Amino acid sequence: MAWFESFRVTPPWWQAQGKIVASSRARFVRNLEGKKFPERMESEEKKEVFREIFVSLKDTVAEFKEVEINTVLKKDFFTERHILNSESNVGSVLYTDHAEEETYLINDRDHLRFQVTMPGDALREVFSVARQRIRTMEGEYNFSYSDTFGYLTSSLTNTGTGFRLSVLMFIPGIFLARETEKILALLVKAPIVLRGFFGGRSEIKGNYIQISTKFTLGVGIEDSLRMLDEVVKALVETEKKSRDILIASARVELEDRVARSLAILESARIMSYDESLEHLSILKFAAQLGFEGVPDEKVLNRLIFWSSPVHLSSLENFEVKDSELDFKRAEFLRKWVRGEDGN
Amino acid sequence: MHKKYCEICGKRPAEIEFIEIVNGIKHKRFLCRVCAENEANGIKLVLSDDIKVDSGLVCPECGTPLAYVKTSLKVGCPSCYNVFEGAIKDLLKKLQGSTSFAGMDDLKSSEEKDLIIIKHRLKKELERAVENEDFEKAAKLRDEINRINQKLKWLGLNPSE
Repeated sequence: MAWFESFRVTPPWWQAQGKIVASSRARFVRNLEGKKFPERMESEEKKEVFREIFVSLKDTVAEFKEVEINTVLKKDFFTERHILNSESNVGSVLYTDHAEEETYLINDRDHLRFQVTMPGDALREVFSVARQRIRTMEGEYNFSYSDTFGYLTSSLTNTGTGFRLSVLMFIPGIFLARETEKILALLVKAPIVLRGFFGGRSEIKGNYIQISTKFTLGVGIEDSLRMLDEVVKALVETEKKSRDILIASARVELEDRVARSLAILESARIMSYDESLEHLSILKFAAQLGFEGVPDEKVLNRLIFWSSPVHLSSLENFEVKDSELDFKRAEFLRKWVRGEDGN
Repeated sequence: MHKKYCEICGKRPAEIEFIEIVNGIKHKRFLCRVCAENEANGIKLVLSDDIKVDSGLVCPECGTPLAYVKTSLKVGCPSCYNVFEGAIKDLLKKLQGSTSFAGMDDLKSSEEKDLIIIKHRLKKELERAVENEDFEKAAKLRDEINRINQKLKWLGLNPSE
């Protein structure tokens, strides 16, 4: 069985995402004492670190799926699933539960990376799960630690707690009502990092943003939770107000936009990933607002996910040329938006 | 022959052959002691009477050059934190606004925080005991560390709140 066969489903946390706060995530990285970080390790040393970590992990991951990230294709595939990230390397081993809620990654940029993701506004929940894993693991491993810096990590952006919380938000109202300067003002004051979610993280696409805690030194993890939570609440309020303003003062313009996006998705023959995100996210917004004649939000979530280059190409068992991908995408979206599969 | 005066200040005599590896390319410069020490960011330079080759800018444990740490904000191994301590503190200050570890938790679970700190102190003592071949002490310390690990595991499985 090909490695991607068991990943033919949309990640459940993505499929069940919340309306404004799409999903919440906590992750931490740790390294074993006295060992180089993976980027500097030879393959023998990597195997040794793997064995040492796996001994205490094997019961936990007994029912998990195991994938060796040994090709760039696999790396890109799991980056699109948001288990790896754009800075990940080839050469790690991944364990994920079937819901892709909890993942352990061994020998990526650090010896161990744990991540927990849940749909909707679940910051408290992911925080507790991650903290519990931190506590358990502290008793099982000898982690690299210094009195001065705390936990030692391969990247100086993680030194200290090695812990980060992040939230994925869908905020088309703020973007369409041109309230972006309000969120910028809010984020400048807070110790928060703002990123895009699809493709390169520096660009914001599809009206999704990802905000995460910034500091791993000088701030305790409870405090960083509180700070992020405050920003999320403020953003949700701004998004709700923006939606009210749009409905009250620009309903026709909004309907026009939705109709145009629908028409393009129904008839285009060439569709880039970026363009698909733009139109699908407008339709998703319309579905949330209860507009008639647009696909169901659940269908749209799925389409947004499977329009990404590597996943789209996995539908064709990776037998599609890069140059054909934009045709395939247009075809795929036409079929589903028109509802030709009756779904 | 090397140049007579320091390539940075141009005032003091050049006493050190300063080797820097930037993106894998070796650069050689002739500097005075003062400027070389500034460049090395707190890393101790080994001096002798004559011109000395200094390789202190590369972590002896993993071979990561300081220049790489500065540009990538990444280090190669835990020892880099010791070897480049001064430079890393500067980088962290810029990056994180702080260089001090605030712990993993708030005061509610200070018991765990204390246990973790004690555990890491004991581990250092254990290393010393092994080095000094004081095996009796080492065995005691090992038992103590195991007890703390058990306690931490228990706390992890039974969170107090």
